[in-house]
Amino acid sequence: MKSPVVEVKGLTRYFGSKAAVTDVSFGVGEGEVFALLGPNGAGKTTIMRMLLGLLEPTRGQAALFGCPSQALTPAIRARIGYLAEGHCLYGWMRIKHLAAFTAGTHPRWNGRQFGDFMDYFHLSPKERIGSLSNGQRAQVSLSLALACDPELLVMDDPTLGLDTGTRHEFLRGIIDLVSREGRTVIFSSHILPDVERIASRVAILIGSVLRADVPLEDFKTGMARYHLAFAGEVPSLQGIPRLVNRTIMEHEALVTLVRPGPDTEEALKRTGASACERVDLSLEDAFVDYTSGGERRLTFGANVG
Amino acid sequence: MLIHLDPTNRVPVYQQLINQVKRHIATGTLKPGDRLPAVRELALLVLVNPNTIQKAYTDLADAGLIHSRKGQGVFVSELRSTLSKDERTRRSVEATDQYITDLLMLGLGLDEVQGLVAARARRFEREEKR
Repeated sequence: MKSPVVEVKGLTRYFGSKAAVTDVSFGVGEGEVFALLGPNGAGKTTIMRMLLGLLEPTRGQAALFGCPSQALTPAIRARIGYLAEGHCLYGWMRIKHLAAFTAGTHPRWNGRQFGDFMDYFHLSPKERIGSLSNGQRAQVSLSLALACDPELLVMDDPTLGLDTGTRHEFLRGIIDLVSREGRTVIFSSHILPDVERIASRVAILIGSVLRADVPLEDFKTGMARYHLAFAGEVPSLQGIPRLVNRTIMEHEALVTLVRPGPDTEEALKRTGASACERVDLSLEDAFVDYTSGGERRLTFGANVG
Repeated sequence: MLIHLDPTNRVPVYQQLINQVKRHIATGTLKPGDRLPAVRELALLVLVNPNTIQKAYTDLADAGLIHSRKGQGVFVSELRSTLSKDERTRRSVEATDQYITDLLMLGLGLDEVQGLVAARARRFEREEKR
């Protein structure tokens, strides 16, 4: 098997006494679109910064294209596109200068594609970065990253605060990139319908720990939510295996669990519910139930736990 | 070919794609020999990962509904049944019984089931004529 494009082993980072990332391991293979999800403050940005060698890990290691992140050579950096959170660009530069600057370090720079993007977004190469809005800066920064034709594109919450049209243009750019041979993407996002459109794999960080690492479809179909009705009070639901979340009302309960199986049905029966119905769960529901449930020991996925 | 994918739906996106292509073939909006959009083209149109489209096309090809010709693209296959007449009848009866059972379990009466089938069949007919 080919070595993964991204390899992370036991990655840990403390800020003072506070753990931002705890013993995280995963691999991303060529052609994958890997979505790193998790509530605010879970450690997504810290992981990305360590991947790019911008921040030293307290323990563990990360490697891109087999090269340790702390020692990325200019030749390897030229194969990587990176969109930092908030789209930090030099404010005093004009768009055309920034393009020339980026082209200098990326041998596969595609000036025509960059020009097309600028036309599409109605941006003039003469405009100064400092005078652009947040959304326009995001458009420039994605256009720069895509015009580099990177083999690995790393994006930290790239569509934060963008309107739907611009977000879809973003997705189109990424789809265009990954339909070429040998392109890999890692991104973090809070917009789950976008994740569902383009991700092949999702990883979920909760409180600095990696709690899921699965193909997108397995996450969606591997979780189930049931609506239970009771004649009297709702009993303890502790006995339900792999329970991740429960909402209890007067004579009803909503329970969400992972990997429903024969033992699920039996456990649900044992609760003495007078009615039990499986209800629809979108990726968004699945994600919220999974991350807010407080069942911290549970993990989901092959490389985890 | 109109494809509308809803990423907020519970059904996985690639399954939605398979269902819609099958329906287009069933109603004749897609006819044998018609060319399907290339993977990349369709991915950009409906905004999903090209691998998802590829996976759906592979499943449809495995089911014998479409085939690819090298360098030319993906085409709708002739609808031919490799099954014997008896086997076809057996499977049709099985699918119908399962369907009726599901509807009865939802609390419909048999007359309602019949009405529904007739109404939906008319809808397929309209789609076929278009």
